[in-house]
Amino acid sequence: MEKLEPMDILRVPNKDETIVASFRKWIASYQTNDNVTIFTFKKETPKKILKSFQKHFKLFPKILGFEVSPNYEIEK
Amino acid sequence: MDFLSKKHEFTFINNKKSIVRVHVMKVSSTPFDIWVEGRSKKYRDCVQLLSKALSRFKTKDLPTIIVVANNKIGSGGISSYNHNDDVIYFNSHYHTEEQINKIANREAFAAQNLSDIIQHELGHKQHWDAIKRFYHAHKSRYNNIDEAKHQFDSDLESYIVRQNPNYLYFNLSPYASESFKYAKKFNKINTVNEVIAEFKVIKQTSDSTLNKLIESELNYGKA
Repeated sequence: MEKLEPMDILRVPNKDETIVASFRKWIASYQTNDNVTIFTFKKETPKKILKSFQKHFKLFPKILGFEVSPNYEIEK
Repeated sequence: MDFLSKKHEFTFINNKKSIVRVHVMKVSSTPFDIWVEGRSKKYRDCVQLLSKALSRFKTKDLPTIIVVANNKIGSGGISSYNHNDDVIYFNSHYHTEEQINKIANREAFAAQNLSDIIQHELGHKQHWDAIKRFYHAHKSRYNNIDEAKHQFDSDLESYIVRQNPNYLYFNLSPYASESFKYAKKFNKINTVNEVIAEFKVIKQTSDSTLNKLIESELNYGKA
């Protein structure tokens, strides 16, 4: 019988994955304290992104496996 | 668009872990090795889009590409590489640029267009080709290709494990980060597969060690 193995299938990101990905381009830098990542957002980051981050920061450990602080900084 | 009438059967495990058989016909009016499940406009549009995207690659680097129905690859699946048959599967649902842009705009994976999606799958192919070369060169050392793969990928995997847990999110893509985390738990033999495929889309990262580790894997045993 032919050998069948699961393939690596590129799939459409779901809603939570899309939210977590949406912050990346707005992050200028980060620091890590006690395994918690603190983001510094770019100066021009839209308010709706910052609001979304405060609402959804708990998705990071759930989806990506690392903790992030809800307390972010803004680039000076 | 012209098709050859003789059909060929391919079998794979889809997005929902089901075994799927597809019967496909070769598209004769394209310089590429593209096979399709249907003749409808959706498939014809898909072949046109693919032909445009594939023109950026050398034909000799491209495997067979099989365009299948959305329900065959499994809803949500976009494309995949099957290393046993050396073929790329592509979901016919993505037959317009708008649909491709809609998923690329979600910024979860590195691909920004259809060429990038093909590049992602070619990254899988290059990885598997290198694994096969490694296995054939050291066949007496390993009981099977999975054992050889585990060894082959081990330096890259352990390098990533030693980094900050947010490393892949920032250096590669959220998709690479999530896939690595998931595979460490549930698919240990394939932990770095998506890391390598995503790397091939962005070409290089700001970490020269990661770049070297991946390039040395992909170039293993090349003449």
